[in-house]
Amino acid sequence: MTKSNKTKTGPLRQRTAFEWAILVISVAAIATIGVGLVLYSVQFEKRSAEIEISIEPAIGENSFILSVENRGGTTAEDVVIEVARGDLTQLVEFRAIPKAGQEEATFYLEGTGAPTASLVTFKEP
Amino acid sequence: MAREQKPTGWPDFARGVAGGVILGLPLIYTQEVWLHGATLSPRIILLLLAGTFGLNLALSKFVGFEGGRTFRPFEDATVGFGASILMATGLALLLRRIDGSMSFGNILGIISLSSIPISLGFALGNALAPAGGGQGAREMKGGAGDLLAAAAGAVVLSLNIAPTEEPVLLAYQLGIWHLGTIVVVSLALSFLIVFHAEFGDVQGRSETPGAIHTPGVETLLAYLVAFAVAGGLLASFGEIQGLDGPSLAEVVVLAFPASMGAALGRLLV
Repeated sequence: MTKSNKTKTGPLRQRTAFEWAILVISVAAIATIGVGLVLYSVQFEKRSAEIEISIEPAIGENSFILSVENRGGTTAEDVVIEVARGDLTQLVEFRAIPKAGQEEATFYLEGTGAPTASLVTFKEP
Repeated sequence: MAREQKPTGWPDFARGVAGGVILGLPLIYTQEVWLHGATLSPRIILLLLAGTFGLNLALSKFVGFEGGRTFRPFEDATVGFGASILMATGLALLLRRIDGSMSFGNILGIISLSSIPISLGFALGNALAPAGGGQGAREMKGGAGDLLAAAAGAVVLSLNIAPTEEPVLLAYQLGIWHLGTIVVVSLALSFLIVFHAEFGDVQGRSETPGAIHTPGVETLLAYLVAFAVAGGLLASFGEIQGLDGPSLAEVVVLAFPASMGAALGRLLV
């Protein structure tokens, strides 16, 4: 038994070079995204959030840049950091620090000495 | 008797690109997409992509490319989805939503989420503007009618973006080269959508006499209309106060979706 050489809309034809090109490029793009997401899921998903904090001076007196890095594989949500300088303290909040990502915030804190920072709380989704 | 099948060509593909950009841009200008693209679990993103591919497949059965191939809906959905991923990558780079400092997984997440509306727009490109223009289109032909349609389209697409934080945020984060590239891409895509994507009365539009109907002049004038609409909307919502650099940057950022709306508006007349 031979297969009919027709589609519902008419006879079959050969694909053109343009049709082959866009098909091959599209398959490559989909494969990159699909394989990348699967690998990333397998590699990082089971690791919980790991928060690292650093402070650098910013332009202007008593101004500082707070950098919060999440080295884990899960996003940290509602992250609260306490910064202190001498007797003065201040809370800095971040809505989310993406997995393997970093966020920064500038804060102003009077006082003497180098400021310090500590993680107060965060949630994992 | 079966009709002769013509191959899928650049105008067909450009029609999909146009639909994808028009429907995808409002979501690309959304902070939540930038955030959730980086924070959502890759498994959830994969599920969303699989669902979107299914929807693309269903749409491709009705509004896909030219026939005459085996597995045509599946192939069209694959091409639409793949092209949307590439377009999402380009737009995310253009607006600096992804860069080399980010983790590969987060880049994939942002591209994936952005590609969802673009892929649906790609599949619907055929149905966005009917061949020959919409009803009553003949009464709006001519320079003033085209610019009126451009203004209306620009308002439709940029009105829901103008009052948000995103234009301000993007303008603050983008440098002069990125802003210049956005202007060039706005003009190039408008030209492509109106004069090379095969929908609307593309043949009649290219052949209409008069200075304004020179493709280059019409594209430039329509962009100026979109630029004015973007500036007017931002001023109305109190997002810009004067004619300074930051305000100009905000207008350039909003003029991008506005110019895509202006192109869509012109296709409908």
